[in-house]
Amino acid sequence: MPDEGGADLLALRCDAVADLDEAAVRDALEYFGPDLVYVVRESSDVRVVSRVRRAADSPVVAAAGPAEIRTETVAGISFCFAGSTSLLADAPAADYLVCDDLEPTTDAVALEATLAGREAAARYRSRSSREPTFLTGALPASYDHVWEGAVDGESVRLPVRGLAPLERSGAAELACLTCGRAGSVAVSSVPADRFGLGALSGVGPTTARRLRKNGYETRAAVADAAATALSSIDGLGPSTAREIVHSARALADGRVVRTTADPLPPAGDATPLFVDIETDGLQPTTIPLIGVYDPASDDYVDFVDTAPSREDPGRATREFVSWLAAEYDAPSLVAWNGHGFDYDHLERFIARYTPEYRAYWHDHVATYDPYDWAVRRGNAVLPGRTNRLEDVAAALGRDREGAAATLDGKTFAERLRRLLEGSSESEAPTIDWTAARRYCEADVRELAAVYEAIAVADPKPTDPAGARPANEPTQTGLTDF
Amino acid sequence: MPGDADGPIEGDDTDPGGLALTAAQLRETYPDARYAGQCRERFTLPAEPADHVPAAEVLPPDLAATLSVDPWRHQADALAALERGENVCVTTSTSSGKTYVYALDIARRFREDPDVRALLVYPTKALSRDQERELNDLFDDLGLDVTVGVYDGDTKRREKSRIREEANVVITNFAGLNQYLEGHHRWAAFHANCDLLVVDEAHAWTGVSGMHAAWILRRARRVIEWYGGDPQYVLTSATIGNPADHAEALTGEPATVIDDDGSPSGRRHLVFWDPPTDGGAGEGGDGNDEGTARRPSKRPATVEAPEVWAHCCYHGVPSLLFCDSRTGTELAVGRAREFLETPSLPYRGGADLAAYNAGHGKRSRRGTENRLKSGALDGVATTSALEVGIDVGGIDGTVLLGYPGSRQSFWQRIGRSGRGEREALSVFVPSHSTLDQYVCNHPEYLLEEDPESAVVDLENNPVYLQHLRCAAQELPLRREDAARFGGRERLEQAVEYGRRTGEFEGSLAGGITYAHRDRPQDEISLYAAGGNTFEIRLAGEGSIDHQPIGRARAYRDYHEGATVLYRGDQYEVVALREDRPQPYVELEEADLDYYTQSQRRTTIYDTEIRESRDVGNFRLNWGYGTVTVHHGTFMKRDLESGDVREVGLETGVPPLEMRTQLCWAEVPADVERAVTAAHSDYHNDECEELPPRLHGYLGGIHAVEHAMIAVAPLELAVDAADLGGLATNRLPDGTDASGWFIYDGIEGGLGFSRRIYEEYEAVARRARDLWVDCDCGRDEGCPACLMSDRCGNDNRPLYGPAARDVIDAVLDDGSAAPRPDRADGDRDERRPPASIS
Repeated sequence: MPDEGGADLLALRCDAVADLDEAAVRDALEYFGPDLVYVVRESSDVRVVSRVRRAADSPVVAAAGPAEIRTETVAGISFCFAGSTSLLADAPAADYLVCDDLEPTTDAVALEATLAGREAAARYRSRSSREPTFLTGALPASYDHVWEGAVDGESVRLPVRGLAPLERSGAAELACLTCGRAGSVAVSSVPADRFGLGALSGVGPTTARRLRKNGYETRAAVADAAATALSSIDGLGPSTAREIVHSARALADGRVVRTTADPLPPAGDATPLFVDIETDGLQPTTIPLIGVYDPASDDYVDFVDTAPSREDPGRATREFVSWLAAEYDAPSLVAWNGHGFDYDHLERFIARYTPEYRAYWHDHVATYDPYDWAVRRGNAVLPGRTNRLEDVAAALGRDREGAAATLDGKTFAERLRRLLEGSSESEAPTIDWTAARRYCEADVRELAAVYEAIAVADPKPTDPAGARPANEPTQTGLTDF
Repeated sequence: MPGDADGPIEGDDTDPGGLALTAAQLRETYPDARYAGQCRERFTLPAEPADHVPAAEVLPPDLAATLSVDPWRHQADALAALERGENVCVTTSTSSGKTYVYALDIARRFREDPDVRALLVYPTKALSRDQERELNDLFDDLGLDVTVGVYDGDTKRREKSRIREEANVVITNFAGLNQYLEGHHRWAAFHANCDLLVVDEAHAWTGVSGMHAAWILRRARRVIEWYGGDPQYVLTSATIGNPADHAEALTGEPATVIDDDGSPSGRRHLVFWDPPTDGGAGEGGDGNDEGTARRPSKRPATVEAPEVWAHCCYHGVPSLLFCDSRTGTELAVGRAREFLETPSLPYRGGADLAAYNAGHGKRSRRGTENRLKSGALDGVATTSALEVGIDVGGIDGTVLLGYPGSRQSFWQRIGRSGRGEREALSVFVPSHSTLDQYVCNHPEYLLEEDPESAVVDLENNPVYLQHLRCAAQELPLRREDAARFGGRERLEQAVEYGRRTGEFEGSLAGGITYAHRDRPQDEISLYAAGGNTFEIRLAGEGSIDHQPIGRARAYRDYHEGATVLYRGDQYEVVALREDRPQPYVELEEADLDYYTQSQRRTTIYDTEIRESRDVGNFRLNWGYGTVTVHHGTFMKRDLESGDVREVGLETGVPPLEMRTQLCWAEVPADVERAVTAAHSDYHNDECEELPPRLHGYLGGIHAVEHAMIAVAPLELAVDAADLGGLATNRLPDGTDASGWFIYDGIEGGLGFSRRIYEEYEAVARRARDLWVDCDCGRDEGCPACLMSDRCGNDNRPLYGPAARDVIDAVLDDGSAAPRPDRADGDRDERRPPASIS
């Protein structure tokens, strides 16, 4: 969340929520608690829009409505919605100008990209005393680019953000934008199919329909059901039915439900060492902050490079791994989605910036990923709307407070990137390293708590027929692409 | 290929005089009743002695001592160049032991450092497995514990991590490498120790797939360098016209070309066997002479070639017959048996013949291979499956049913007979199509002239963007990468483009990263440009291992109702769908006796000149233009005879607009006037829409356009289907001149029109010869010269005499006539536009 607060704008695209019934739409609205709902123009469907209107307490603006100007002021932030860029000439000033006509037009052969509606947007900007942020449903919510426009030979900045659902591995994620007064926008997102019965693992649109048809309208109803009752529904096998019930209970009770009897790795005597890295993005160019928590000694240590530079992006990594090698002969690292992120990049940075530790890392360090173990390998069902660490931790009752709650990884990454880019810019942000370190520490401790919650959850009684050998420890490098 | 690997080690010394039939004897023994002068050309290619270099000169003593035979000259040269730290591109003949070059280099390095790694990129998975065995055998022979692993889509998960960690030699293919680069941290040790990057069959990477390969290699090199590796390149290639340029285009680095072939070869008899005119030589014509009233038709090569093959096999020349389809191999065996059993012919006892193709299943194919090697079979009719790779043993003869489309493939197939210094017999039976007839009329093309050039174009921006996304996702892109990725200006422009579209974040100073969570590597299809690809599916349960294709190709060859020949099997397209996120084409296995070809209509506008030069008095331009192509109709042709069955069938696909590269010639006003006047008498009744006076001239430039595209594959490694053309009496650039275009049929361009622009005179000369030397003798040409199956104007008008005059003017060096004044008053007269595509 941005520290200045702001208005929450939930943007929907009809095709992404077409499978949600009214209860599920209500569930989504409750989850995000938006001040304002916007239905983008693309793929508009009147039935879906009316479903959203019935479910919403907040104002709902649909882009496909009459081409007109509409303004809404919520939480002290003003939004102006314009049905087309031709209407911008008469549009009143606002903090945010929403118009789905704004969209890059591209010519890949000539390597040229321009913004459709740029002139109208620039004139709108020049009439306004403050700098509005332009929002468009024609682009995904990850979109964030400052275009340049010109009015009467004067150049103006046109910050453009997207609103449409994010695409992740082919699935749409609904995005809610927290729009601050100064144009700062923070995005949170949840897969569109994770609402209503869809929030249950193993339930897609078809299964949701089957459940509803059989009288299971809500997650609570499913949580109360016996797996055997569910498996009598046509098309639901016993194992799917169990998975659904487990998941409903996990969500309802805010606890971990184990679905196998396998022990949570690392098994045996090894004590886990919890790790998290903070970077400047999904493909990091630098890792300036690494936090480590050892539950055995209850010590938290971090490695931080408060003056990150392009010249030596691996400084913190080097300090971390040399400390690790000095302190632990054969550590068992535990990181959330470590096999999808942290370990990959640590390994890459070690190879490049401190190759003398490559052999140690490779031969002596065991790496574990409870997210991978629980979710991808199907050993446990976690509470939380998504399986992101902060969602799982919140569902387990751990809420963040203080400095740690004012920051999130993506915001940190953006600031860090601007800091690194901005050596020439006068407006390069400063990073509050104290807050960043607290945030990182909160993350690592949350990880330890979630790990503990998984570890203490009752394992499913061993099924003698289907007993599997315990998972081997997952060494770095064993997973595949 | 094992042929390569069995190079000098075995030292095969079979009796070179063992060949049962020479070319002359083939002629003498052929039944008189079936012979009517088919031996159109006869050549004897002399034997080449082996040129050895003592092993100790190029290898460390102990390694040299384990080699049983001295390496050949080119192998030694390449090893020496590698030792000097150079990249090498080895372009020597089939079975000249090119594999030995890198195998011995790896062996040499392994002795110094058992941690050494090498990455080998092969064109196909099948070849990879074959090569793994060969390399393992070789390293065993050398007594070295070098670990070799194949890493591709068929490799098991557990195997993969073992190979990444342990294998000295990793064999993969480009599609795989494109994917594996994403998980590069897993390859840290491999990359750090990677000393050698080998691209096998480098000539195969041309056109669309060539540009993908070139970018993938640049990405690979960058990732390897991140981990501290600094590999040298070894490229092996069939003989091509531009090995040094091609190597540099593919890898971005200069390479020493090794082409002084030291491998021996026996004397080879090569016969061009032109099928007889139908009815002229006995029965067996299959009644396919109807419908071609233009001239007496020839017996199809599909009938004639199996008979020649049968004759060779019968007379003790164990032979391969190369056919272009699986069905073709089966039919050929049937025909050959029939031929040998014809009572009126002097054959007694037959020959043991078999068909070989990928449809036969592994075990059956192994059986055929073994029987061939052991001598139990006299002949095998095969698809391209036996062109490379599998060891075929003591084959003395090769018969080619039709020209395989490239000189490289021609010699590769021919080269399958006559191992070592043994004599060999090869027979080429041309079919009645453009390239076959050209080659038949111009044997010097095969025997004397420079081979085709491979074309790798890094100019295509949509493809460039695709690989930049991958590169940025693999490692942040920085300014230092500009040298490898298009130069600073282009990289900066692409980065700005990506930032504006939301795909890139950051700056080149600190690192550009990919902003999305998907894998941009998944968007790369080696055989399509710039995304928007169609998946190929099989209707019902089955699956088909067919690369996705680009939209242009889908519309052209995969519309509903089209027949598709894939790996020798025939399919029919039952659906083409693009109203969903993943467009697809659905195929159904089919057993049809026809094939289809679509016809296109083309319009061109918004041309933008990038370069110009004068050719004769013509202005020749190269640049970009917007081309709209509509493959609106298709025809069905008889599979056997090629005769047209039905025309004007609807494809149902919409027009396709693309921005692409093209070259065009502007005809000078005086040439246009002179040629128009000289041929104003020519009239084509079916061209009512054109001014009658212009039929001759327009037929001329239309024919030039067709002929130039038809002969382009003789100069460049290009599939003529990827080129298109348009002749018009008013160019869209406002000059009001007439002229003709040749364009790359792929969004963003392929570099082919660019190369044609550069080698215009050579291509034009061949185009002229095509018609002038064609046996048809017709002013309007025939399917083997001026006519094109793709022509949306039904090949009307086409007029050879005017085409010849126009090309003569192109090739005129200007000494004959002074350059005309461009402000010629005659230009003011507005003419009705007429375009013929």
